[in-house]
Amino acid sequence: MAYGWVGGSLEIDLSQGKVEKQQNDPGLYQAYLGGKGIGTRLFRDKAPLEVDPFSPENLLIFATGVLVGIPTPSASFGTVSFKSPQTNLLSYCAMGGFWAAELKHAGYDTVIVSGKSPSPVYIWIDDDHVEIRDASHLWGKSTPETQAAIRQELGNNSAQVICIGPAGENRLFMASIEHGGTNSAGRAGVGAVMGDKNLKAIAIHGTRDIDLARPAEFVELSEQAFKRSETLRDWVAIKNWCHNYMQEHMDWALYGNADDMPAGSGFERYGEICREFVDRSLARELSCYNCPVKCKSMVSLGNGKYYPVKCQAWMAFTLACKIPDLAFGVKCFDLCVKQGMDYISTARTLAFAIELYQKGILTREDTDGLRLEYGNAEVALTLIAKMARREGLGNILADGTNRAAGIIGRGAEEHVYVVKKLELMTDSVYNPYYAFVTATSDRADLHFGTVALSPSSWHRERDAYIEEGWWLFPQSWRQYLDVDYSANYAGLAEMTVYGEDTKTFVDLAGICWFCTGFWPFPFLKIGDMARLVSCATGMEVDEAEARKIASRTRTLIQASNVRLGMTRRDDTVPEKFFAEEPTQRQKELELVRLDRGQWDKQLDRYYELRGWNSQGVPTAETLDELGLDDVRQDLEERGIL
Amino acid sequence: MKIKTIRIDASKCTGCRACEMICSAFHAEQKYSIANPKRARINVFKDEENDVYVPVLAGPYTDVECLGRNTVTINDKEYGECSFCRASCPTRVLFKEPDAPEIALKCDMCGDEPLPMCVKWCMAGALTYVEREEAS
Repeated sequence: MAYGWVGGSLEIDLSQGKVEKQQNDPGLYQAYLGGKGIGTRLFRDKAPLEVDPFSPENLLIFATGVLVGIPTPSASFGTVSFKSPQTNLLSYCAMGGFWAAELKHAGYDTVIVSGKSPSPVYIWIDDDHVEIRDASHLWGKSTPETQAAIRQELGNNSAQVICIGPAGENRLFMASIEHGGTNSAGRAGVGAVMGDKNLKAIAIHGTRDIDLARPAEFVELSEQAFKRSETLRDWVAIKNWCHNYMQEHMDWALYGNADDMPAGSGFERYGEICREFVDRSLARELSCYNCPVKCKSMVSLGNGKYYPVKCQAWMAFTLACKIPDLAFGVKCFDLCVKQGMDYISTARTLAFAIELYQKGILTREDTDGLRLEYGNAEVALTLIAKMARREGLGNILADGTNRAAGIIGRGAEEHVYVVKKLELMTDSVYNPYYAFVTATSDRADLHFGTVALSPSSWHRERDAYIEEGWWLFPQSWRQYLDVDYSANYAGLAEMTVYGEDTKTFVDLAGICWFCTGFWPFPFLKIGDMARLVSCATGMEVDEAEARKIASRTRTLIQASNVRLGMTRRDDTVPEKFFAEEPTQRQKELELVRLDRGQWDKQLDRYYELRGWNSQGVPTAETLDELGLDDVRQDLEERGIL
Repeated sequence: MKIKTIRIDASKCTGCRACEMICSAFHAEQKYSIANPKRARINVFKDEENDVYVPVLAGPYTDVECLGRNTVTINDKEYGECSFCRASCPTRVLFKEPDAPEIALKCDMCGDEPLPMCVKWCMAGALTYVEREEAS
C-alpha cells in the first residue's frame, strides 16, 4: 500500500490520442520523492535529452510533491519538467494552488504528456475516466475564461483547471501555464511547449483518499508548524509589505534596465504610494491549499472588478516603465495572467524595449509608431498585448530579450541581462550571494533559487532572527554574514549548496519556498520536512538522507544539462556586473562590483562540494554514490566524463 | 441548553481549504489516516473572479430536493441558492461519501474536541467557535 504518494501515472500521447495508465515503480519515490526529481528522472527515461523543444517528442511531465494533498502546511506544489525552448536545457517550473492535490486524489502522482495533437484539445481527468476533448472553441480565450468555460461544460465547479492563454498558443518563450487566477508555472517557455502540443488545458477532479503512514505523529508535527507560521504569516502579508517595506524593496528590485529612478520621478515617495494604495484597494488576502501564509491578494480598482496581486508582480511593471502607480502595475500583471505570460520576463522585456528606444537603437519605424517612453502606461499595456499576439514589434520581443537582441542587432545585445538566456529577475545581482545562486541554480533563476538571508531592512534585525532559531543555516556560519563582499566571498559556495539542497527538497515535497527559505521566519526547515516525509510515507528520512535525495536530483539535472552542452562558462551572470560599478544608490545598499577572481574560487569550491569536476561535470564517484550509475555510463560513453 | 456554534466571517476567508483538509482527516476511520476533502463536512464555495469565498458547513440530510428556490445576488452577480446550501441533497454530490453516496455527511462539531478542527486550523480567523445558551 502506498502512503504519501498514490502511485499512479498517466501517459498521454497527443499525436495518437492515446491514454495509458501505469503504476510508478516505488523505487522512483524512494530515490526522488516527487516533483522535479521524479519529473527529471522520467524525462530522461522517456525521451532523448537532445529533443527539439518544439517537436512532438518533447515531454511535459507534471509531477506532484510527496507531501501534497495531506495536512502539510503550505504543501500545494507540483512541478512541470520539460525541455525549454528558451534555454535549450532541461528545465522545470513549480506551481502551487489546488491542481496538484486534485491530481493525487484522482489517483495520479505524474502525468506525462507527449506528442502533438492535430487540433486544439484539453485533457479531462476525472478519477479513472481520462479523456482528450476538443478545445477548438477555447483557443484564443484568456486563462480565466478558459477555466470558467471548462468547468461549465463539464458541469463540475470543483474541477481544478490549469491552462495556457493566447501567449502559449502563440508559443512565446515567456508563455506560462496559469491556474486559479494567482498561480503560474511561468518560466523558460513552459506555456509555449504546451501550446506547441495544441494542449489548451488539463482539468482534474479526484475523489480518492491519500493515506498517511503515521497519522497522529504527522498531524502533531503539522500543528506545531502551523503555530510557528504565525510570524511569517503576518510579516509577508501584502498590507505589511506595502506599509513598511516597499521603498526599500524598490531599491533592491530596481528593475530591468530602468536602473536608477531620477529625482522628481515620483519614486522617492514610492513607499507612501504603496501604503495609500493597499489601504484603498485591498479586497482579500489569499492562500494556496492548506497554507497559513497570505502571500497573494485580490485588489479592487474601484471599477467593480477584482485583480490578483502577488509578490513582486505588480511592482515589476511600475519599475520597468518608471510609472509610480500600483494600479498600472496591477493592470499589467492582470494582462499577463489573462494572456498567460510570465511577468518576470515580460516586465524585463518591456524595460529592454523602452531602453533601446531611449538609446535610439529602436526607432518609431521599428515600433509600429509607438513612442516607447518611460511613464507611458498606455504604450506599455499595448506592447504587452502585441507581444501576446506576436504582432509587429511584439513578435520580435515575444521570445524575450536574448532572441530579440539577436534580431535587432545594432548593439542591443549590451542591454540584455540574462543567465543561460533566461531574463534575470532583478539587478540585485550586484550582491555576490544573489549573483552566485542565480548563476549556479538549476534553472538560472534567483526567484526560486536560494536566498540565504533576504536583503536590506531585516538585516538590521538579523541577530535576533538567528538567535531565535529561524536561520536556515548552521549557527556557526554566522561568520559568513560578516564577510566584506567587496574583498572576500568566504562561505558563498557552502551557503549556496546548503540552501540549494533545502530548496530542492522543498520542490520534491511540494512545499512552498516562501514558507521554507525564501523569506525570513521559515517555519519548516529541511529537518522538519524530512520528519514529515517519514511520517507521511513510512520511509525513514533524516536530514542527511534528505540532503542526499536533494543532491541526487540536483546532480541528475546537472548531468543532463552538461550533456546538452552547458559548461562552466554558463555559470555566470552578465559581464556588466563584473565590469561596471553599481550606481550610487546601489553602493549605499552595500552592493559591489563582482570580482572574477573571487567568483572563480567560489565556483571551484561549489563544484567540489557538489562532487562535480572543475567543469561542472558530476564525477564518476558522485554519480555512483547517488545511485546514478546509468548516468555515469551515459556520460562516459559520450566522452563527457 | 448549550448550543455549539461556528461563526463564519466570509470576508476573512483566504480560500486555503485547510478546514476541508483537516475535517476529512479527523473523521477518518482511524483518526488522521487519510486526507480527502471530498469527504469533508465543510466546503469552501469559491468564485475567485468575483471575490466570493464562503465556507459552508454540512447540515441536514434531505431525500427530496427543494421545490421552491431563490437566488442570492452579491455584487451584481447572481448565485443559485444551492451555492450556499448546507444540505446533503439528491441534486448534488456535495456532503456525501464519494464512494458511498447513500451515506450523508453532516458536521458533528468534532464531538468532544475542545474546538472543532476546522476552527482550530483556520489561521485566517474566518471560522470562530462560540457556545451560546438557549432555552430548551
